[in-house]
Amino acid sequence: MTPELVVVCCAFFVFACGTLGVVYRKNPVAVLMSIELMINASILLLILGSRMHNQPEGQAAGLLVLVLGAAEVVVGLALALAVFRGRNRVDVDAPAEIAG
Amino acid sequence: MTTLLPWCFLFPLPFLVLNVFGFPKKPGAASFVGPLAILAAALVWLLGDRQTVSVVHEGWIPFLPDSAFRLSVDGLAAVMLAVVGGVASCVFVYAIAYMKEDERAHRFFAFLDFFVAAMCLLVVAGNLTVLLAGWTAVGIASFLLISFWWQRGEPLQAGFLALGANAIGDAALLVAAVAMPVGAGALDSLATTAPHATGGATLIALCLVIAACAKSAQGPLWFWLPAAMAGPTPVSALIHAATMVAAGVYLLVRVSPLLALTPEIMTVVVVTGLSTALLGGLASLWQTNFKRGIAYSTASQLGWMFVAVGVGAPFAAFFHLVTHAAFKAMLFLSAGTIIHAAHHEEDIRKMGGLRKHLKGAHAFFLIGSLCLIGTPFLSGSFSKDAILEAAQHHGAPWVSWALMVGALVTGAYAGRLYFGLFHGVEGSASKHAHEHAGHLGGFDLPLIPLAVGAVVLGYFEAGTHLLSTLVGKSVLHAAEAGAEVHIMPTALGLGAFALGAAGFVVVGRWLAQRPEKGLPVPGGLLAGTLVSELKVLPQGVAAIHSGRVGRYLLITMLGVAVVGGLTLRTPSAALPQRAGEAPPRPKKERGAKDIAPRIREGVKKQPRIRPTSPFGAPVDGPPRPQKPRPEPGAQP
Amino acid sequence: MNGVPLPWLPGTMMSLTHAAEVVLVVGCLLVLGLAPRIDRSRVIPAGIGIGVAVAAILLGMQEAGLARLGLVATGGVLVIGMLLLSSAELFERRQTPEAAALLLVGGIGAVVLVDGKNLLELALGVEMLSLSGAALVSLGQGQRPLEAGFKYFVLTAVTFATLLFGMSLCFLATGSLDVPALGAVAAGMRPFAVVGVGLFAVGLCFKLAVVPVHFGALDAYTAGPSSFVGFIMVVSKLGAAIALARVVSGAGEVLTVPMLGIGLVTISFAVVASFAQTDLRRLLAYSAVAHAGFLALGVASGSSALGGSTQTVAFYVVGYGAAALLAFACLAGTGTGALPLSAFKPGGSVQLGPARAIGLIVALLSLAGVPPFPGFWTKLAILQAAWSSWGAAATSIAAVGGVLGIVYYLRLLPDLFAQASETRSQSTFGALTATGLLLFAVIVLSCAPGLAWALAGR
Repeated sequence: MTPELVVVCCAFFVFACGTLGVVYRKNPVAVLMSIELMINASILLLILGSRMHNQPEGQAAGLLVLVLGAAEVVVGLALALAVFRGRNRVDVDAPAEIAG
Repeated sequence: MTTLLPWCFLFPLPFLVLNVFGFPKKPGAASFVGPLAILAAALVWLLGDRQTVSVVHEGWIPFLPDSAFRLSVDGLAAVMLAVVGGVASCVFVYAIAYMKEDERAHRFFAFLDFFVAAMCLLVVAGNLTVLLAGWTAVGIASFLLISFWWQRGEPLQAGFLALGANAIGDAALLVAAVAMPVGAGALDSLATTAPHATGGATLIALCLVIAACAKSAQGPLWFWLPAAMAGPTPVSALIHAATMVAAGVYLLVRVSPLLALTPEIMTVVVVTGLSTALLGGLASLWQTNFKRGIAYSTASQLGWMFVAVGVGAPFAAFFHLVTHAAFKAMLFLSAGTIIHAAHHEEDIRKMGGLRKHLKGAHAFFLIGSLCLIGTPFLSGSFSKDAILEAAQHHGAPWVSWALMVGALVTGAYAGRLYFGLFHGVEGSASKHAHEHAGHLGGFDLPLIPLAVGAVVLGYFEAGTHLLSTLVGKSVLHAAEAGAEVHIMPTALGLGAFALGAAGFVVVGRWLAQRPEKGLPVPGGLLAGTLVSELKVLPQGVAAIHSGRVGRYLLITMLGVAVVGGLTLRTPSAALPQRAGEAPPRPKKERGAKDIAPRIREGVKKQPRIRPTSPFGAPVDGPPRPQKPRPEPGAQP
Repeated sequence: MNGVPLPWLPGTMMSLTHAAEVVLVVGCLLVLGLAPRIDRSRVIPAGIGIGVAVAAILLGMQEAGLARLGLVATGGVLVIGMLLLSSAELFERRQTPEAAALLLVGGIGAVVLVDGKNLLELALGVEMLSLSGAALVSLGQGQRPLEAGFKYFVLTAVTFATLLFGMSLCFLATGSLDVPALGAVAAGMRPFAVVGVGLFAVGLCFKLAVVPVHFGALDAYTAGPSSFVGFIMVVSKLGAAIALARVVSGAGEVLTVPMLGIGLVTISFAVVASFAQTDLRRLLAYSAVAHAGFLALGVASGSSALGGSTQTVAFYVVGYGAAALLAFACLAGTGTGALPLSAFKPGGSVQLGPARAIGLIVALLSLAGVPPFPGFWTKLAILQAAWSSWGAAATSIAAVGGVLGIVYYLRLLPDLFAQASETRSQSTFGALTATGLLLFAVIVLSCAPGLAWALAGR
C-alpha cells in the first residue's frame, strides 16, 4: 500500500460517500454537502496528481475547483432557501409540480 | 418556354400568396390558373422537341453524398405534370362550388396551391434530396387538407394517422438519401450509382419501396388512406385518388432500372401490391361510408400498379396511373356532389334511388365505375389489359390468376356502390338531394373534362403508342418493349371484364339490396385500435418523470455508473487513437510515458505487483504499441 | 492568427476569442455595477448587452473556423436574449440588469466551452453555463420556475462534481489537464484515464440534456421564463456539443460506443414520451432532449468523408438553435405556467397574433425536420455522418425517431393557422424584433444550408 494508493482510495471513498449522500439524503442542505464532498474528492486527486507528476498546475486547478465549489454552494443555498421558505417539509422530493 | 418547365412548381405560389391575403374576394376564383399553367407548360413540352431539361446547382448541400440541387423533366415527368395539372384544374374549379359556404375557403385554396406546388416539385425532382423535399411537403399538405375541419376532432386524428404513416416513408427516403455513395448524382442514374453504396442496391431499393408503400397506402401502411377521407371531398379526389397516392407508383416507375437489379425486392413489390389489391377490394365491401369504400378501391387499384412494377412492366403501371387518375378523380367528385347534396351525409345506408335527382352525378359515377371494371373501349380496360398481359408474360402465372380474382372483387365493390347509391329504395338522405337537384351546374361542369379523359385517355396508347413514345426513353424496358396495347381487347382482358361485369351486376347488386348495403361484419377497425393501444408506451415513459428530485438523482447516478462501466469495458485493443480534432498536447518535461516509473518508485517495496494498475487489478494484455499521432487537426 | 497585442506585456498577443471574452466580462461587470441606477429601465441593460454582443460578433468575424462560429453564434443568441429581456416574465421587474448580466455570463461560458482546449477551461465553461442557467430559470414569476431552477441546480451540481472527478482522474493519469488522447496514456494508468474521460463526458452530457442526465434541463425548459429558456437551451447545446465532440475525438472508441448508445436511447425515449404531452412548453423541452440525442449521435459518429464531427455537430446546433430560439421568442411573454395545447384554439387563452403565429409555425416545422427548413438539413448531415460510421441499423433508428416527431410537432399547425389570421398581437417591440431576426435567419439557412456548413468548417 503506497501512499499514492492510499490517497487514491481515500478519494474514491469520499466520492462514493458523496454519491450515496446525494442519492439517499432528502434534506437539501445535506444534498449540497454531499455534492461538496464529491468536489473535495476531486481536489484530493488533483493535489495527488500534482505531486506525482511534479506539475504545479494541478495545485492551481485544485484552488480553482475550490472556488468553483464555493460559488456553487452560494447559488445552491440561495435557491434552496427560496424554494423551501414557504414550505413546511424540508425535503428535496417535496416540490414536484413539474412532472410528466 | 420549355426551359421553364422544371420550375413549374413555382406557378401556384403567386396564387397562394393572393389567397393568404384574401384575394380575389370570391375564394379560389383565380387559383385554378396555376395548375392550368402547369398543364399548358407540360403540353407545350410534349408537343415540342421533347429534349430532357435539367437544372443543376452544384455545391448546394455540401454535407450530402449528392451535393447538387437537381431538377429534371423528361417524358415521364412531363406526362405526370400534365396529369397533375389537368386533374388539379378540374378539382380547383369544382372546389369553388364545393367550398362556397366555408368561411375559411381562402385558406383551403392556399393549402391546395401549396399541395400542387409540392406535388410538382416531387415530379420534377432530379435527385433524392429534392425528391425528399417534395415528398415530405406533399405529406404536410395532405395533413393540412385532411384536417382542414380540425375543430370537429375526427379529421385531426385522421390527419395524424396520415402524417405518421407518411413519416415512415420519409424516414426510408432519408436513409436512402444518406446511404448513397459519395458523388452519387441524378435519380435517373441510380441504377449505376446505387450498387456502389455501402448497403448495396438492395438496401436502397428496399428504402425506396418502403417509401412508395407509405405514400401509396400499400401493404401494412394502408391504414391511413381510408381515414384520410375525413377531409373535404375535392381533397380526396385530388390528393387521395389521383396524384399524391400515385406518387409512390411514380417513384417506383422512375427508379425501375434500379429495381430491375434486385429481383428479391421486385418480389416484395408484387406480393405487397397483390395483397393490397385483393384485401383492399374486399375491405371496400364492408364500408358503410361510401367515400371510404372508394378509398379502399383506390388502394386496391394502386395495388394493381404495384404488381405491374413488380413483374417488370413499369410502363403498364404508369399507363394505369394516368387513366386511373382521370376516372377515380371523377368518381370522387361525383361522390362529393352527392355528399354536398345530402348535407354532408356519407352513409350509404341512408342513400338510394339518387339517379332521378342527381342525373349528372349518376352519369359520371356510372362512367367511372365502368372504367374501373375494365369495360372494353374505355380507358380503364386498356391499362388493365396491359397489366394483366404483363403479369401473364413476365410474372408467374399465379399472379395473373390472382389478378383475375381481383377483377371480380373490383366489380363487386363498384357495383355495390353504384347500385347502393343510385338505385333501389330512396334513403333518408335522398330527399335532401331532391331539393338540390337543379343547382348543381358548378359541380357537374368540371367533371366533363375528366369524363372525356376517362373515355379517351386509353387511345393515347392503344393503337397509337403515343404515350409509350413520350415516356419511352425513361422507363421502357427491353422486356416490355415488345408488348403492345391494341384497341381490341385480349382474351385475358375480356375474361377480366366478364368477371368484373358479373361482380358488378350480380354480387354488387345483391350486396346493395341487402338492408345494411354491404357485408354485416364491421371491418377496418384494426388500425384504430392498435394505435390507441400504443398510447400506453408514451404514458409509461412520461411517468418516469415523476417530478421528484430524489428519483432523478438516483437515475442520473445510475446512468453515470453505466457510462463509466461501459468505458471501462472497452478492451484496450480497441483504443486506437482516432484521427480527428484532438488538440495537440504540448510536450511536458514529464509526459505521459514518464508516469510509469513514477508509480514504480511508489511501489518499489513490492516488486511482485509491478505490472498491476494502482487498483491491484492485473493489466490485461501486453502494452499496446504506440501509434504515430496524427497531425493536429488533420482530417482523415 | 489574428490577435490583440498586449501593451503591458510587449511581444505577447491575446487571441481575438479571448479579447471577445474580455469584452463580454467588461459588459457584464458594467451592467452589474450600474445596476442600482438602471434597474428601472429595461432598455439600458439590454442596450449594453447588445453592444458587447455585437462587439463579440465583430471580433469573431476576424477569427477562423470553430472560434468564429462560436463567437458569432453566441453573440447572435445573446442579442436575441437581450431583445427578449423586455418581455421577460421576471419575479421582480427590477431584476432586469441582473438578468442581463446572467445572460452575459452564460454567453461567456459558451464561448469558453467552444474555444477551450483544456479540461479545466471546459469545466469553467460548464460551471458558468450552469450557474447562470439555474439563476435565470429561477428569476421567473411564481413557484414553478423556482422549483425548476432548484432541480436544475441540484442535478447540474451533481453532474458537475462528476465532471470534476473525471477531470482529476485524467490529470492523475496523464499529468496534464489537456483533453487526453487515450491512445497515448501509459498502460498502467489507462483505467484512470478511461474512467476519467467517461465521467467528464457525462458531465458535459448534462449540458446537452441527453438521457439519463436530462431531467434537470427538461424541467428547466418546461417552467423557466420562456424569454430565457431558448437562450439557455441553445448556448448550453452549442458549448457542450462542441466540447464533447473534441473530448470524444480524443478518446476514440472508449466514448464513441457509449455516445452512440446514449444518442439512440435519447432519441427513442424523447420521441416516445413526447406523444403523451399536452403542454407545448413540455413538448418543446422534450424536443430539446430529442435533438440532443441527434447531437450525441453526431458526436459519436466522428469524421466522415464529407466533414469532421465538430463541423457536423456545430452545423446541427446552428440549425436547431435558430428554430428553438424562434419558438421561444414567439412564446416570450406567455408566462411561466403550463401552455396547454388546447389554449391555442381560436378564442383560447393564448393570443399570438399573425407575426408570432407564423414564427411558431416555421419553428415547429423546422424542429420537426420538414424540408426546406434548417432542421431538415441538419438532420440529414447528422444521419449522413451516422451512416458512414455506424451503418444501417443506427441510422434507421435515428431516421424513424427523427421523422415520427412530425406527428406531435404539427399537432398545433391548424390552430396556429387560425391564430395567424384571426388574432391580434400583444407583444413588445423587442420580442417582435427578435422574432423577425430569427425568421430571417431561418429562411436564409433554409435556402442556403451550405452557408452555415461553411461557417462551421475550418
